[in-house]
This record gives sequence, structure tokens and C-alpha cells, in this order.
Amino acid sequence: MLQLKAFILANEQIGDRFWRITIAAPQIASTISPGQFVNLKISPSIYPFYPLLRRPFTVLKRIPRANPSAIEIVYEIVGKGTKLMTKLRKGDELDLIGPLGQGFSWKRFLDKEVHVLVGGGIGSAALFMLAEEISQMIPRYNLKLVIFIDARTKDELVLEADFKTLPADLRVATHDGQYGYHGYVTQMLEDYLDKEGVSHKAVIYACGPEIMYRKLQQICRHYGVPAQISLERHMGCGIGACLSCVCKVRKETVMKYRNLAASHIQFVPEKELGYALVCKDGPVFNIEEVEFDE
Amino acid sequence: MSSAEPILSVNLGKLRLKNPVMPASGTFGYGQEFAEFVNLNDLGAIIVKCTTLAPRLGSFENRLVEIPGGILSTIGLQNVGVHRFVKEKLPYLRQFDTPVIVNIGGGSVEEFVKVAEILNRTGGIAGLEINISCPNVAQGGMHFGIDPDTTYNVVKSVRECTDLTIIVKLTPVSNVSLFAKICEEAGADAVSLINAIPGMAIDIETRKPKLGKNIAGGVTGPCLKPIALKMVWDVVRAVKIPVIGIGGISSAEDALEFLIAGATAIQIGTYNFVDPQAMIKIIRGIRDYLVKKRLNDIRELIGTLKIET
Repeated sequence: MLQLKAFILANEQIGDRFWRITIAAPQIASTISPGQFVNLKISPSIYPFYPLLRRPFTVLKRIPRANPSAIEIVYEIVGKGTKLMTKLRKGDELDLIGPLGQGFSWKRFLDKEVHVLVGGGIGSAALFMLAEEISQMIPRYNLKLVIFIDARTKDELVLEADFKTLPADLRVATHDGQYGYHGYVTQMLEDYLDKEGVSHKAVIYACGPEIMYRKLQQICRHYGVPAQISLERHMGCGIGACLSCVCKVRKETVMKYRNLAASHIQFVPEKELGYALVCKDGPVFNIEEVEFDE
Repeated sequence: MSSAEPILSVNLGKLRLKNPVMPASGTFGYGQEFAEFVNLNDLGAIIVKCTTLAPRLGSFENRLVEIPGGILSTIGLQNVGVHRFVKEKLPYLRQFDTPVIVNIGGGSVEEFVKVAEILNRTGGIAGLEINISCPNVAQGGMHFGIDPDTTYNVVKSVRECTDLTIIVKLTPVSNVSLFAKICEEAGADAVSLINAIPGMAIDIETRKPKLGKNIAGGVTGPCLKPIALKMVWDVVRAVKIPVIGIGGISSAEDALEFLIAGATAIQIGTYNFVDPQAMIKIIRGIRDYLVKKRLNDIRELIGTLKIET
């Protein structure tokens, strides 16, 4: 966990609402692992109070060959912070804290043969480094890597070209049906699990909106497939101090996976549900641990 | 001698701080969260997360939203409880040469007293900050700080069970000076102000509160500063005990305004989230200001607001 000044190498629009920013950060590029995030102060000097807080971003790629080595982030304009971020130019400086959080622990699932990545919308960005790492292990462990990504339209499928560079079985869906599978990524996943009969030897890693996770939780329960998911929350600090970015977790399942004393998870006696910190205990959780609101 | 290092130390009652800068409770966890960014020995004091008798789950999800110049948040005093604090969090803090002040909360006078008694017999704690001003819990919060009698009772009762330095964190009410005087009378060594101001925000698309089921929260951050500064100015003229200024302090310049207004020390809250090294930068900035102004001791600056008549 470092706090450093980092220069922007590029910031370019790649879709109607999507941008790709490249930041020189050798110490981050060499230490970050799939699923971890960085917390950016977008306006360190000119407008220190606007936006006030840092913004957490998942890292799409490490670019070790860049000089200096860099990280790449893909972001969607969702509010004032990300809108302002589009104004950043090559040579501008950011204040960056990272790497933060617990990423995907995919090596725990090396006994599984089929590794399935499920990316909903821009959430697929959080899966790219993981896809890279798993794809490098395909020959050694005889793995199968299947990647499902979706977007509302073909134009919004901005990461398809990146995923295409990997030796994986890539399947894309659009909600409007103009390209690839017609529907949601979770429907595509269900069809796949139905047809292929691989549930017993599969593991899922996912990133997407909460509505996708609610559906995915049902799918995982139905097919008996374990899944790790990356959650998103508004964060105050990103380092476990403000206790803002909580998610509801179930005591019984949390105990299966974690040493409670070493976590930031808060339970109270006689209550089954407690709160975990997305910035510290996550952002990656086992899907069974998380309790979603209806 | 003009280049001599200026003296930054200040006293809160009998407690001596090496400088006047400390974190506001709830913005610095239990210190350890910041240890990779800050040498905890460099701080004036460490004020830890509000601690209650039993552990608390706190508010519902959707606890924070950014607003122009600040944040609106509700944590609802989520904390590990006093017993886990003493067992798991305090041992780490004891290694530093920095006074540890525990912010304490409770739903009744008895709860405040029990927490104070437990902390009183635990070594390694320099002071207590009595939280009678948290806006984000139905019980054990602000209602204590808006009633003169309960304010007196809580402070007096805690005073009777401990010799530790007692700070009372005040609710930002318009007659805050009255409450400061009550605390002084009840035996407080210092008062700190202001805590968050109640607020809310609505998503006009969904017509739901941005803080979800919590509905409302507390406003903190730079937008509070002028309000806090005025209240601190009011309180320093009403009491003889030291006043700790809190509210939107984000830079050494902000801190200096509070010191000039008469605050003996200051707390940094929301800005710790923005820059984990903020307090270190502020301490350095205060020092540089004193050097520039050829002041040998910070006490030559505190309470020196010039008013033209």
C-alpha cells in the first residue's frame, strides 16, 4: 500500500461513455494482483475540494513494458468525478494510493478444470488481469478458460478486443441482440452450464452490477458452482478507517472462508448478518458470503 | 536565534501534546490503518474510533455520499466494543510515544460510566473524549448533547470515576457556548467542536434518500469550516478550559485560522480520507508559518485574533 504521485501517459475516449487512462506507476504495476484496486485523487492541486474524495478504480492491465511501467484503467462516466477525469491530459499528475484490497484468489481453485469469467458491462475490466494470469496457466494445469462478457449494445462492448488477445473461449452478449448472444451475460452463462454439464468442475469469477450478482447467486446455488465476485461501493478512505463501504455478510458462510480476527468484519452476538468492509475484506468476496438486498 | 525550532507543544489540562494536531474520532480508525502513511509518533495525540460498551453494527448500507465540499455520511457508531478495543487494538497503540485518547459513546449515563471505568483501569490511555454529539444513532448520540441536564450528568459522572483527561465533544447547536460552560462546570478538562451537522440528500431519479434506509446522516468536510470556526470563536470566549477546533480543516492555513480564533488544538477529520498524510503536512505547515512569522512558541499565536474597533 503506497501513496504516490503518478503522471498520466494517455487518456482517450473509447466509447460513448467510456474512457481509457494510462498512468505511469511502476511500483503499482509490479505489485498489484488481479482484483485489487487503486484510489485516485483526480484533482490534487487546482480544485482540491472538487471532487473531494478519492475515487476507487479497478486496474484493467499492467503494462510492464511501458517506460516507465504503467497501469491502465477503463472508466465509465457516471458522475461529476469521472466527468472531470476526462479532462486530464498526458503529463497531468494524480495522487494515487494502491494496491488496495483483496483480489481474486483463483489458485485456490486449481483443482477445477473450467474457469469461467463473467463480466457484466464495464465490470469486465476487473477480470482482465485475472484472465491473463489464468490463461498463462492453461498448458501447465490443463485448464479451460471461458469468458462471458456483455453490454447493452455492440458499441458499449469496449473491451472485446482486449479479451480477444487471450487464448480463451470468449463469448459476448448484447442486451439489444444486435451482436453476439441476445440477452444478459447471466442467461448466456446459464445456457452454457445447461449444455456443457461442467458445473461439478467449474468455478466462476465475476464483476458486474449488483442486479447481476443477485441472479448469479441463484445460478451458483442451483448448479452448485463456487464463485468469487468483486463488489463496488462508495468509499470514504479505501484503507479501512471510515467504515463507509460496508456490505452485508452472513456469519455462517464467512466463517467457512475467513479468520474473523484478521478481518475487518463486524458481527454482534445473536445476529446472523454483519458488515464487511469492501475496501479491506474485499472487494472480492465469495458469493455465498454476501447477502444482497431484495 | 531566529532560526530556532518553534515550540509546538500545547496542554489540555494536565495532558501535554507535542503539537496541537490530532485526528477526529472515526476518521483514523484505531491508528494502525494509517501506519503505512504516517509515523504515529509525529502526531499530537491519537483519537480512536468511538467506543461503546458492547460492539455495534452501525448504520445500514449506503453510508456515504459526496456532496459539494464535503461528505454526508452515517456510520452509526459501528465499533468493536470496549473489551475488544482494550484486548486487540490498544496494545498496538501503546508502542508509540503519542497520547491515546478514546472517544466514548453510550445510550445512557450508566453506559458512559461503565466504558470510562473500564478504560480508567486500563493502562496506556491518556484521555477520554465524551461523544455527546453523534447525529447518527437514535440512542447514545446527539440527544445527550442538546439537553443541558443530561450533558452535565454525563460529564460529572465520568469525571467522578476517572482522573484521565476529559474532553467533551459538543453538538453544533446555536447556543453551544452554554453547553461548553456546563461541561467546564461539570469538570471537563477541554471541549472539542464541532461534530457533524445533520443533513440529507435525495436521488431525484429514484426519489430515494441517497443514504438509503438510513435516510439522513451527518455533514462533514471543508464546507463546515466557517460554521465551525464561528462556534469555536464563541466558545473560547465563554470558557477558560482549552477548546479543540474541528470542522473541515484540510490544510495548515485552515488549522491556523482555528488557532488564531483561540483553539488550543485542532482535529482533522474528513480530510484524513482524502490524504492520509494530511496531519503530517499540517503540522509541518504550522511550524513553517511560525518560523516565517518569527514566533518562538505556538502559544504566542493562539487566541490572537485582531479585531478592529
